[in-house]
Amino acid sequence: MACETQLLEKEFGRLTSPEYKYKQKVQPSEKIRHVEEEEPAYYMLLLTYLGYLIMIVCGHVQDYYAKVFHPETVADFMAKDGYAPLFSDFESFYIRRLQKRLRDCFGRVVTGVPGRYITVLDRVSNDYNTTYKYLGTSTDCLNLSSYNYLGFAQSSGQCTDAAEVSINTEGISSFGTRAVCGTLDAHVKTEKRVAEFLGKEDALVYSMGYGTNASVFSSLVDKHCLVLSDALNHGSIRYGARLSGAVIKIFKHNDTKDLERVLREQISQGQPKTHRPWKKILVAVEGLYSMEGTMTDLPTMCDLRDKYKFYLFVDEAHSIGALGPRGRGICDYLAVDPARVDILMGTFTKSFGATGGYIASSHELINHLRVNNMGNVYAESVSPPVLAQITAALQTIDGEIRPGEGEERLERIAFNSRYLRLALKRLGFIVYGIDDSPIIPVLLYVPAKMPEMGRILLKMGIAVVVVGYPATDIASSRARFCMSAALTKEDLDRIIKVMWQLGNILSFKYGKGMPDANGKVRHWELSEVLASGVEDCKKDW
Amino acid sequence: METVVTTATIAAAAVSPSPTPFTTQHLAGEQILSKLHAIASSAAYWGEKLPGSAVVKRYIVSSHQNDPVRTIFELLFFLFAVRYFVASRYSTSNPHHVKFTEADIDELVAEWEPEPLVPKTTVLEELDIGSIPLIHGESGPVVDVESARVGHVKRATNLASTDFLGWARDPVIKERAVQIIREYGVGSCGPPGFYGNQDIHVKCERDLARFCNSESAILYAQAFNTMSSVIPSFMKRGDIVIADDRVATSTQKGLQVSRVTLRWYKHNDMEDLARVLAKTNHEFRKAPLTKRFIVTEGLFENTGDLCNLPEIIKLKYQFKYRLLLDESLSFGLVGSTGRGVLEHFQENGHPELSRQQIELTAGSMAIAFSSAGGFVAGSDAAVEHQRIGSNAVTFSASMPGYLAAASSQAIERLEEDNSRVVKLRENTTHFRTFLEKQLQAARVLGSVVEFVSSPQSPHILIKLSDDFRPETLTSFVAAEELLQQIVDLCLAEGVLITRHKRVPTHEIIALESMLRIEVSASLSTQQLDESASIIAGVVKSISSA
Repeated sequence: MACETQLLEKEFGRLTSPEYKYKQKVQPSEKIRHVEEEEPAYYMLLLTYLGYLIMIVCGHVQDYYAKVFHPETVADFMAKDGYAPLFSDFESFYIRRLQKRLRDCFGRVVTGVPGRYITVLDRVSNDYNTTYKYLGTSTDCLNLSSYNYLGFAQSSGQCTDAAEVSINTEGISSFGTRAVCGTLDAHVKTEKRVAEFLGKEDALVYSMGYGTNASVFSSLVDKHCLVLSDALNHGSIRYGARLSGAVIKIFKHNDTKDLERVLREQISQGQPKTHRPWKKILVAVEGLYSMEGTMTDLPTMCDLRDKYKFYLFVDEAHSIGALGPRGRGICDYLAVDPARVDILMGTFTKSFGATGGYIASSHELINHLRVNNMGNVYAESVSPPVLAQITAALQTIDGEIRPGEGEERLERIAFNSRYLRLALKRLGFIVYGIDDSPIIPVLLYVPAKMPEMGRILLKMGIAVVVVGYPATDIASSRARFCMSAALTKEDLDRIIKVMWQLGNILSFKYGKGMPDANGKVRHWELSEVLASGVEDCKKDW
Repeated sequence: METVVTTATIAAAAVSPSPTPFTTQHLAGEQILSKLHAIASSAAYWGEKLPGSAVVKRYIVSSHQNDPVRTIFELLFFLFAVRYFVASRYSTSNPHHVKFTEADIDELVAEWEPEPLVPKTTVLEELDIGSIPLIHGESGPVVDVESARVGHVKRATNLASTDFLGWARDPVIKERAVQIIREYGVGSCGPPGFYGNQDIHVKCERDLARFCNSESAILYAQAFNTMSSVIPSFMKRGDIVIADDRVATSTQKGLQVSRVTLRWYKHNDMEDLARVLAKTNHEFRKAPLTKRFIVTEGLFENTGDLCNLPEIIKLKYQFKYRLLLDESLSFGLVGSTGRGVLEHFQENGHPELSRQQIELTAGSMAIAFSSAGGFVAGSDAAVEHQRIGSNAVTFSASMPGYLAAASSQAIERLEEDNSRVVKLRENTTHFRTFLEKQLQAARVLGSVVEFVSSPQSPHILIKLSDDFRPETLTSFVAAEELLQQIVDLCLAEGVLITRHKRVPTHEIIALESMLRIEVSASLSTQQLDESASIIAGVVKSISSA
């Protein structure tokens, strides 16, 4: 029994005090529009570029050396017997000479539930990250890397029970595409539930979140249409928009003024060359940006939508379940009527511990997608246990099963997110994004700090994602903390202490800090941060 | 600030009807000169303090050479350079740009009426929406189906599902899936690069590589997105691709999005392939060497026949191309142990062929391996490249662990014992022969319908015969409607088959209307015989109606 409790605690930590909860408030538009992003000192940017420059120069020297003295090591990207290389040395340069230096920070093999703790298999590389030797041991790390916002990644509990039941009654596959013979009751039931949850007429579920975006644009727009895409939209949106053949224009990240400028320009000019009016304009934005923690200014977007008559597509991959007083995502958080957003898209990977994606919209549009969308007509349908997991998670959030638990999960992630973010900012780190965002990116800038951070944290038993170019822009490498309701306040204190230490060792406290009781902006001491964090994070700041 | 005042004074002086304009201007001019001198000397003072200023100074002096024209020219050149670098990226300098005032734009915005987001439902779409069968409970050899056009059928023999090897309702696989869910939960909660790479995924990749006899393999979370992502990860603008003109939609999309130089060859026509290869190589003989690929399918989803692999491999070496082979449908269905079209040809007179001759092999786990997702097998280097270079891997969460584990188990069992593959082959031969006989007996084979797929394919495609052209059959939609009637009547009699459903707007290649019947290893001879008789009967009744 004790062992079982321990296992449960490893996946989902118990709430240690009723104080450690926070109910998110509905926010006005102004609150999220101007999120100030602190800039580091100018010389830090210079150092960052210098870092890349040195690596690039070294890489080219290494390449040259290898080509002359060890041609066998570069055979993969040299033309041979009339065949062009499978990937050119230019194309693969970044991967071979830059990314390889910190490859051990990515693709770490894990096992078990990605819950409060994640079990990372220990490995070493004796050939500079070309191959790895697994030692047969593993390390339990505090998990701030998985997308497990509400902590539904569990090996027991209502969701897992539902998944098990569904394996026995519905199987693990429906062996077909939705249009042919893969539609089960379970799909219809889940879709109804998802639509209700989002306040839309109808919904459609897909077996892959990336695939949802990759295919949906082709069913909505064609080459006579315009897609306006936020500069930092996810790769799947960019891929899907490109596949649709529509003309794509980019506007500055989260800048509704720039969007308006582009809209006025495009509507007045019409299609290139022919000058005919655009057939449709679709604006694609994300609810919460996965690398920035910033949020789209939805109320202003909706006003622009009314004025300029475009259609609005909001990708809620990271915000659904994780944001809003009732967990219903960005519409809930900003008190926007879901009817004002034409298409709501999201995934089940993040908050619901499942996999796949959804589109929620009008009956008309969903019916169109049912027969016109590639992700529905050609791709395999969602596996039944995944549907069961989604349904059970939604029922929990709504309080239909285990009343109170869903609410607690929402309040815990809200508290955790604010608590850690405030502490990190007070310690003097530059942290991007809005206060309530469960994505907490800490800026590192200098590329060499990424692998150091990743390795030291792993040694200290904390799993964090470090990202740099090409996922972010070249100068802003970062470490990203993904918050979870499964973590306890004590876990967060541990992280804060480690970060304080790391900030001193690796010196990346580039921020100004936060104002203290006297209104003086400064870096706070660790003890001060821990002393007043719980109360302060619940205030508006 | 003072300079500004001075300029303002000049402007004022120029327009004012002052009685002594000369003096004022003269004074102002002197002021300007003295100011400029002061600025220049202070600039020179500070300039000399800057490191490297000597070089700049020397350059200016030597370029001036007492020739003001030359200096002005240099200055203009410098300003042009500055303007060039500072100029807006959103330059509106394209010749088609029309200049509008803000008021004009407001008017145009008010005038603009977009088309509705959802286009009007077409007749074909209506037919498709109405003909999606809903399965109650679990999928398997016999299912409880509901259809808007037919009603509720409690027991229908399932000849529409892609469960060719009969994994549905397999207790061992279910038990394994439950066990994994109890250890790992349902989702993996992250992309493979960011802690979503579980040991069961690694094991599954190894199992797949072993099954295919390749160095490595990589998982994709969805089969449909495998081909459409692996193609752009290797083939870019400027690369050359020669593809079979009947490849599946996923492949078409990959080719479309990669923007390669694309040439089609006639489906399975090796002479045409050789001709296209020779012609393309001739056309690009002077171009820089870029990647060249042949892209084709093992067992074609759209035609139900096998590619001529030995000939393709011969041609690929002859013309120096690489090969990307989509074996999504052929794994499990073709070859005596289900190892695909390669094994089939190895067993039929080409033992020299090997997986190493095929650079990239794509496959689906949703068909032969009982779960979901896709994979690509190839050399270590090619697989490693996809871990960062392939969009559907990098930007997507990895597949749920229990699905990877279920596939691993299906592979292990296929390796131990090929009885499912043998049973599928027996069922296919039996069903196909029996159905042919029944259709002949009903006098509809050749006159009303004909087989498209090859006799060995468990993925059976049947089209309306070219001779069968009743008055009502005037369009593609009419043909689809007629085939749907056949499907509905079969379902009413307890046999679930389907049309070969396509979305015409997404297909580069125009396809004929076809019926699709999938034979499964889990069906008994009796079920197959009954189904064949029913299908033949329905086709006959349609043709005489």
